[in-house]
Amino acid sequence: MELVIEGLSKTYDNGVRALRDVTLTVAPGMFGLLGPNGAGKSTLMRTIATLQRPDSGAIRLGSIDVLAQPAEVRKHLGYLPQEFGLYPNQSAETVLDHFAELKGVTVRGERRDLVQALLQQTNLYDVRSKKVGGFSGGMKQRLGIAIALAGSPTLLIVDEPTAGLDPTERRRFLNLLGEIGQDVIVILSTHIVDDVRELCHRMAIINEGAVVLTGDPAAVIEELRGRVWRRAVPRADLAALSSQYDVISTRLVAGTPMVHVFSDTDPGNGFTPIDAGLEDVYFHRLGAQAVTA
Amino acid sequence: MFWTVFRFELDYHRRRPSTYLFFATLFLMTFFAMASDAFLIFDDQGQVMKNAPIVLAQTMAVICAIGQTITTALMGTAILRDVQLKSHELVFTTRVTRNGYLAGRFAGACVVMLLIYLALPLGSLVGTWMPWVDHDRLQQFRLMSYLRPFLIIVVPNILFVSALFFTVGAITRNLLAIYVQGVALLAVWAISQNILRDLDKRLLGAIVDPFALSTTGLVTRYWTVADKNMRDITLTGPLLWNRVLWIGLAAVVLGIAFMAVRLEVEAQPLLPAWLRRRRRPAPIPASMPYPAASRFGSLTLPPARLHFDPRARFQQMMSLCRFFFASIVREPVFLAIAIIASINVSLGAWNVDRLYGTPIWPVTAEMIGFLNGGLALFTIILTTIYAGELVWRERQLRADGATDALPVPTSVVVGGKILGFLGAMAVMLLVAMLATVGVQTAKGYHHYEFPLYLQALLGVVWPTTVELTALALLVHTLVNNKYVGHVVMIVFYVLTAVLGTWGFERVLYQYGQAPTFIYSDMNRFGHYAPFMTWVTMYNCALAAVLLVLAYLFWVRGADDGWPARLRNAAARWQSGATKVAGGLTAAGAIASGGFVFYNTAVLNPFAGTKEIENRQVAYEKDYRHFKDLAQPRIVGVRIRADLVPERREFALQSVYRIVNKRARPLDSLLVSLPAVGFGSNITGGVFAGGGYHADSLVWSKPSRVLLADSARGVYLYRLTTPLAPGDSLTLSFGGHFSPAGFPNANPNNDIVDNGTFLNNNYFPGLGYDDGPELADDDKRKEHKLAPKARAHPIGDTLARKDNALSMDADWISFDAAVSTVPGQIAIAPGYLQRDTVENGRHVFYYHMDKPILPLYSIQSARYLVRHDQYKGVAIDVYYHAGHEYDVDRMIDATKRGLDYYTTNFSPYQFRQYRIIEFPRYQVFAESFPNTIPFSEGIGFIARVRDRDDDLDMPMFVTAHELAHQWWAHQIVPANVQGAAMLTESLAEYSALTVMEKRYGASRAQKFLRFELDMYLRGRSAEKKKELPLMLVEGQPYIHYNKGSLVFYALRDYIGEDSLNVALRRYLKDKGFQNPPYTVTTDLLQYIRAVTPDSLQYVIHDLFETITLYDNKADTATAVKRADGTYAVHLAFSAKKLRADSLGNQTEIPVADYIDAGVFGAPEPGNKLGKPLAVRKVHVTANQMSADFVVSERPVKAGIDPYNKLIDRTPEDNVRTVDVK
Repeated sequence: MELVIEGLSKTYDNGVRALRDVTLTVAPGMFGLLGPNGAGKSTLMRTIATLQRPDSGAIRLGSIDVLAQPAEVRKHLGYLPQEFGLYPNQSAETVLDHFAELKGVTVRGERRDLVQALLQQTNLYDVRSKKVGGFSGGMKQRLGIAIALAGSPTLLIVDEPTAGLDPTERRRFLNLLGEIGQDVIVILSTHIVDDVRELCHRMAIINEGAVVLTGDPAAVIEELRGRVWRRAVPRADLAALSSQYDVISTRLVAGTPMVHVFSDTDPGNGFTPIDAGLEDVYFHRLGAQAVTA
Repeated sequence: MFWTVFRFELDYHRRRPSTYLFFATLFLMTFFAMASDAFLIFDDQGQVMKNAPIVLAQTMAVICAIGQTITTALMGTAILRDVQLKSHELVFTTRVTRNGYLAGRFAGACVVMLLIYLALPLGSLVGTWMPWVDHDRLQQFRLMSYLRPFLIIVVPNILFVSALFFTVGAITRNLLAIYVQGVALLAVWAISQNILRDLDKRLLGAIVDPFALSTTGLVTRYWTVADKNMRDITLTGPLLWNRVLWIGLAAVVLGIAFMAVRLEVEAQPLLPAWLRRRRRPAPIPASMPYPAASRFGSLTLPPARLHFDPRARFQQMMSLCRFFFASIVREPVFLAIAIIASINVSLGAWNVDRLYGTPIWPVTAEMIGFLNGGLALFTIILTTIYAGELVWRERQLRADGATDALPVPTSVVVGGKILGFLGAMAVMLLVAMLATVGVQTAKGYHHYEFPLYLQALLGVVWPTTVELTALALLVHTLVNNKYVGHVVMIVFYVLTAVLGTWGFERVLYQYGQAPTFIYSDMNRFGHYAPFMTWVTMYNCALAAVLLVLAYLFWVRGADDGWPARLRNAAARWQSGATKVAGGLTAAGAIASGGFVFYNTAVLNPFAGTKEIENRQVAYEKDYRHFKDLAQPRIVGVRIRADLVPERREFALQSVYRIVNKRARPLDSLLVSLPAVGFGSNITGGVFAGGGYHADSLVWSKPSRVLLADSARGVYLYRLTTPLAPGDSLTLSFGGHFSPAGFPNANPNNDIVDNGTFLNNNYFPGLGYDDGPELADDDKRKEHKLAPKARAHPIGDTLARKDNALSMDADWISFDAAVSTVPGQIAIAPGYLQRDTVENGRHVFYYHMDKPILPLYSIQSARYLVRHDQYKGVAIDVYYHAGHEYDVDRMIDATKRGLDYYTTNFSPYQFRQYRIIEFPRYQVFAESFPNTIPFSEGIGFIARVRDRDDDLDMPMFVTAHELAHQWWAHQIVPANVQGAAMLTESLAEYSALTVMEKRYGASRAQKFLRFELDMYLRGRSAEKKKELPLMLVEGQPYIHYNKGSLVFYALRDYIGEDSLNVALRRYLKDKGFQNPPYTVTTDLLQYIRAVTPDSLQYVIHDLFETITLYDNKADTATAVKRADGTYAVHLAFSAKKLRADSLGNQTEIPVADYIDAGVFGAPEPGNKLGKPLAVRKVHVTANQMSADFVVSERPVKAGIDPYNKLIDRTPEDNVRTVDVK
């Protein structure tokens, strides 16, 4: 079963074009959706999660027409929204049990076992009777994924799950995602390049509502091999440099600007070649689009 | 810094549409209060002008109190807003100082509030200028009449309430806390005012009223029409103390805000640390051990099958129901409101209906009244808040993404939420019910009628909850903005309150309101049951339709624009189940609504207030010209009443013997039976008739029908041969009542399953009956009718030929046969001759062996009877099983009354005295010949606690009605001014004397304190003109309340024996009189004859004028003398005033004998202790003094200490003696 998205477009009432003719095919496994804030990732995720309708386009999950049969999709869906909240006065166990029942796990014994297992797998078992309102960001995200995983979804959508998590929590969360079976379609949206690099077999970069790149992370990095160069630059020379070169990114390393440039040939001038990372791909693509757009 | 914040706050509100919305709402309220009659705050018309200072003040005070929802939004969020917008961290870290920030915000918001509330005087002002406002109802424009209440009442109110909301909002930073605090303020206010409404506690109640409503009420309670039109509300007395108290409290509350609020991210904890620790969950470790951090395994979960079948759906709905139920009942807001509601109900139940301070037993029938009424406001509050919560909860928590994507149908979610909330509401009802059961138990009453409780709660209170929830849910769903949703609901509640006055009186429009009913212990829900059932079914079906609509438009997913919602609604409508549900509920609503309509509009043609008024006007215009048509008189009446209580039917027959008592032949005979056109509920209230028909009217002499208006019961005949003087004829009448279904309102309560009570209104009368005429002068003016005189002038010799109690007869012979269902006893005036069972009906034959006035009653119910007798008079009390409480008191009162009245007045003309209970559809007792119908609501469940000095009201009412056997059935007043003094005032005097003989003078004085208060308030509410007692025109506050005071004072002046001698002579000369009938001047002659010359002025003061006093004890000092006695010096001021009919007072010289006295220490509960020295002082100047020597230590001293004289400030007559 795969998820096929064809020609999805959406313009909000305020004129923002959130999606522009988005076409993607997502096979089982971890799919990364990378893009800056406001790129349209969440709109796309919500649309797939049956919470929003596009102006045009079609989505199919296997044989299900997502837009026409939202109720069918929901039976197969696990969704972890961006920046969500839960019932703060209820315990984690109660909340999870509540959601599991609403997902269709109506047999009491099965549900109890499932809830216990999910709490253990997400390492929330010890705090299962604590009120959710007191949870830290990471705990809340783990409870969120437990809710999303309840009912064995075949389509799992996780929207910016690692935003705002500290490195330890982020690590835990990614590990948890990594344990999900290969037969599940998992769409992970993020603006953190490393999330995708670490987890995903397939990815797409989306910017200003449009897909700018799809592919295997390794393959797209391979495309840039030998074409990314680096050099430390005094702050005064930055402006001059960006007009001269195709600058992918500038970052500070110990207070000194470090510039990555894209060039098919050795730009000389003190630039040294480096192994391209996914981040270079990301910035390169966003930059290229900014020029063409 | 202050100014920056202040300007920012002003600017913020200047840009908010809601600011203008609030202004417009308040403006329109006072505008319409002034410019329309449909929306009245101050319901006091007549001679009081629409722009009188008091009217403006009360209107503004009421609307200001209601308007505090606005304060919630504006003041509560002044600080909270930053937190909600999460901008507080930014604001707090600027250079703003804490005080500057708080003061700026408060001052800014407060100024905006004041500007908004300026709408109150402005609305009134603009309303005054509208051209259609009746200029006769306006007085000369005075700007201060508008501004003064704003400054004195509105501004301090706003300061306090604003300070409170601001502080609570700033400290808790929790919107719900602000709501709760607002509700709590309202509830505490209502509850405290309820507790403090007793005569003795009123002053305290007035001072602690933050809205100054009861304060202005107290200050102006005795204002006459003239006062109301002229006097301004001034900042003196209780109002001043009240304002000082609340402005002071405002400062304190604001001070707390300045002390407690810190500019920090977290709100200040409200509880001390040791309390918090226990309540807060143990802190959760920030990082949990994570043993499998690097296991890179795969997630394996136990198998869990997914179910989406109907059974699973039902289970999910129940689960949602439990989930929301559990979360709602644990919420502090819900708990707080539910607890306040229960307290409110309990307090109402605790102070269960007092008559002259005497409580009644807390019977369940009363308790359900408190539940029905006392919970209504809280039901409205909870449904409004929680319908919004149900719609918005997930979106507010930002959990909607997770929940909306669940594979659970929207219908299951909506259904589960509603059920959960309704379950929580059921808990509230149950708790409130248990609270009233607790009140019953605490009061030592153990006859809990749980089935009745359940019927009332499940059948009356609960359905309104369902209806309001459904509506609020739909509103919130459609409006899709929580705040606007609340506003729409408030508009709905206001509309339901005023729709009736706009002519929308059909029960079909009264969605969300419990149908009006009267529950009676005797007749249970009786004939109200089908009405209530069908109306409730209709409303519930309508609620179901609203719920289906709410489901269709329920927001799910991120798209909440109308195109998306319409598309969703269309998609949801595609489902077969939805169509079935929609179809069934709509069909149910149409069917039940149709049935209600069929009953209330077809079977019983609907007539609204306006329509009935029009009919009254038409009746008067068509027939009033007959009013002087001379008629023969009825001299003999035989009636037969066949009652079918089990079917609420009856058939009546009567045969009148009629004699021409005039000096000339009569040929035109006018028969009036307005009961067929206007109904005949016993009070004489005018309703649309229905069900009662005259079947036959047959004269014994040949006649021709000139007019037969069977719709309004007016028939005119011409005798072929005129009836010669002294000649007689008979009129035979037959009529029947058969109800059809149920009417829209005011069903016939006279014929019921258990507790039938018919009177002579159901039988025809001779001559024009002015009963149906429109009585209210304001309404008469609308219909271009001249004001209606309340009584004929005392000098009207023509009117003196009629007595005040009937228009077509003097004394009649009377026989009655009444049949009823076996098991019931039927009673009519007269003595029972025999009772037999004929054709399966129990028939009672009564015969009266003396002439009586043509007043007769027919009663039938399943009675228990207690017999007794006294000096040859049989005493019978017919009562409902379970209402034994006061039967012995009634019998005792009858004996004491018979004793006193026969000894001092004249013999009792009957051999029997019967008290017969009837259902509480009306609350009164009435004296028919030897027969007293007595409402279950007025004396049968009174609980007289002798040790608490309760007034024995069953005794008083019994003795009063017994006295009418003399003062109505022996002395029969002429149909002119003053008639009620000869019946009611004398009955009050007689009963009061009986009570005083039994319980002593202090109990009588306690009674008179109530009478004085009721008289003074009564004259304050006078719509036309106050008259002296001897000219009273059916004004209860005069003939009852002032009557008691006047005769008690008179007896005090001339002595009991002298007064009784006068009454005895009067009875001897005027008793059982034929026309012309006696008038009050006759009685005054007898009284003057026994009054010494020095006291003749008293009769003029008490009876012939409206005389008031302003007496006051100025100083009271005492010196202990060598012999152990005390010399007391009392300085007092005395003022004597004459009032005209509008209450304009002029001072007249004092030359009066007035009590002055010295008293010992009072016992608890009494105002005065043992009288040490009391004597009449001849007061001849405004400032005088009196000296006493008393043998015990004096505690109190005063002028007119017993308040025998009418004094608008009776409480300053006595003061504490300063003993040196």
